[in-house]
Amino acid sequence: MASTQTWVEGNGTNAATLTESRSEINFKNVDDSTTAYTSSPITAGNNSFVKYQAIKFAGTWNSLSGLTYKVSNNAPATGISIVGSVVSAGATPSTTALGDSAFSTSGLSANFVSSSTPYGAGSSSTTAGGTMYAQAFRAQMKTTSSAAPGDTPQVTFTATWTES
Amino acid sequence: MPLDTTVQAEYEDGFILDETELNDISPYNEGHNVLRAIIDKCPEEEHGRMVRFSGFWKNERHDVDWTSLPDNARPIRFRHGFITQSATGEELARGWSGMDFGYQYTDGENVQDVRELR
Repeated sequence: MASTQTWVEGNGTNAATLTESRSEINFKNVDDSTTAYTSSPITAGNNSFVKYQAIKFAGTWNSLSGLTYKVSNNAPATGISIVGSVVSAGATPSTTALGDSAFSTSGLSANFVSSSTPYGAGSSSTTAGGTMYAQAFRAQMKTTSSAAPGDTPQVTFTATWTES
Repeated sequence: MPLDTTVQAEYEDGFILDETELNDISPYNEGHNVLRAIIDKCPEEEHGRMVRFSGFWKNERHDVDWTSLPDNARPIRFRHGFITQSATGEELARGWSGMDFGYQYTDGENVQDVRELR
């Protein structure tokens, strides 16, 4: 069995409303986890609402460590970039441009926080067992007026970790 | 064949503690996994000292002869996990990319043999 994992998304005030079992992180022009991106597209020259996502662990495990988040491509098309960072607190998502650097393609380190929230300082490893949230990351898709209309090329986000 | 990244321990009387068979739930200490039971030597009171510690990766069994190690030797198994989702679709993949497997003990200095299985 080992650990089980699920992607969790934070929306609303301070990104504190957590929705589990997310299967996508579509960037769009609304702060929720339900609206289809095709219904709230980002128009060229604007930014997406900021996305907050984290990994929630459960199941049986002895220790967790070395968690990282990375994106497969932070500049997937002309006029489109993806920025982001690991955070210790949530903020209400908006389209205001983040000051973050390009989202890492090699891995941003994140800590393990608690059994109830992905927001906090946490520690780089844990032996707590049971439910455990890793720190959340925030990410935003930025576009310029040169971005082409239509779907963007596929981009994936990956979390990696070590467990015993 | 046991699942990739799982471990198995054999004891003096032939008893085998198998992580796959137990779905990684320790029968000795509630809420913990099988590796914890092995590290804590839970089966040894009933079944004698551990004689073999094995890890499984890509349909191969990797063994450590535990009879050649001192009492303070500690099993090591770190599995490396990943989970991926798409910014334009559904969850793509999850699984294990490898594991580090072996033992460690101190004898005045740290002694360890850890295989990086990928």
